[in-house]
Amino acid sequence: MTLDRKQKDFAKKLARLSLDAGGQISAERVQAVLSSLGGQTVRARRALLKAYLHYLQIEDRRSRLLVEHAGEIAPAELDAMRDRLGKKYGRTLRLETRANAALLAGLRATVGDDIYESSVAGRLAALQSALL
Amino acid sequence: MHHEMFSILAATTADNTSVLSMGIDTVRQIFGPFGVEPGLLIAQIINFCIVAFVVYQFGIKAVLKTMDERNKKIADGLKYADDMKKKLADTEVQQAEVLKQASLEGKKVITEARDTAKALAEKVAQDATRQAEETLKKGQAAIALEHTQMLNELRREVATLVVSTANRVLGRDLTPEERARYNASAAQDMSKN
Repeated sequence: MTLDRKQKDFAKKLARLSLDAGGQISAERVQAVLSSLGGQTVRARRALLKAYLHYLQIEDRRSRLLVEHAGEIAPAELDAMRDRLGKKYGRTLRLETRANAALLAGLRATVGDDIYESSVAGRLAALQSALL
Repeated sequence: MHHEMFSILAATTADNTSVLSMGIDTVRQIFGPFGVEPGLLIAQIINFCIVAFVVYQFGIKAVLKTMDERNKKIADGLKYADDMKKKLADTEVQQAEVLKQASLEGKKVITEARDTAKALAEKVAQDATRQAEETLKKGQAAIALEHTQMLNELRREVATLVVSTANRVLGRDLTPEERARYNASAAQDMSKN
């Protein structure tokens, strides 16, 4: 069963209601939302729940700061970057780090669909694009 | 002799019967010395008349008829010859006129053909020139395109080689301290943005 636009907007609102004040997904709020969906049919609730899960995953990606790095980086630098980006997005970001030697040196930060990169590999790629 | 003959004729008027018999006798007397026999003479005259009639009827008349026909044929032939001469003259005039007209038309056709051939030759030359120019332009464009593609390929190869070499060199030669400093600087840049 496919959802119409109103149902999709409803699922999107439910996903936003599931966030706490810091913008993180709250288990209590999710439980409350799920309990409020009891009045619908099984088929309609299944489609709505799938849409709700989809928007929750989007919100989860928006609340996550994934930092890829080549070489060491001080935790204080990471915390400062998380705080500043959190202010920019208006929510508390959950920090995740991942070593990526392909960057050569530097960082690549991902929040939702936004990517910030300051790396030697990125500069070399830009150089290659400029030469082409 | 004439005197005797007059006397005989006078005697004839007196008595016809006697005169006739007398006349024949007299004629015999007169022409006898000359060896002329009246009976034979009359018979010869009659024969002559018969022969003359037969000759005229079956000889001279046919000959005259044939001659008339020949004369008529000759006249007709002459007339026909005159007509033919006249017709020949007219035909020659007409032929001369036709030849003159044909000559004029032939000259006109030749002139038109020359003009057409000249125009066609000019058109062919123009088409050939245009096609040659188009071919030249296409060739130049193809050469320019190939040159550009070659340059792009060369640029791409050089860029790939430079980046690949830089990747290998930097990945091998960067020290952990340099990476850490670069990371700290990158974190500050991202925080500012």
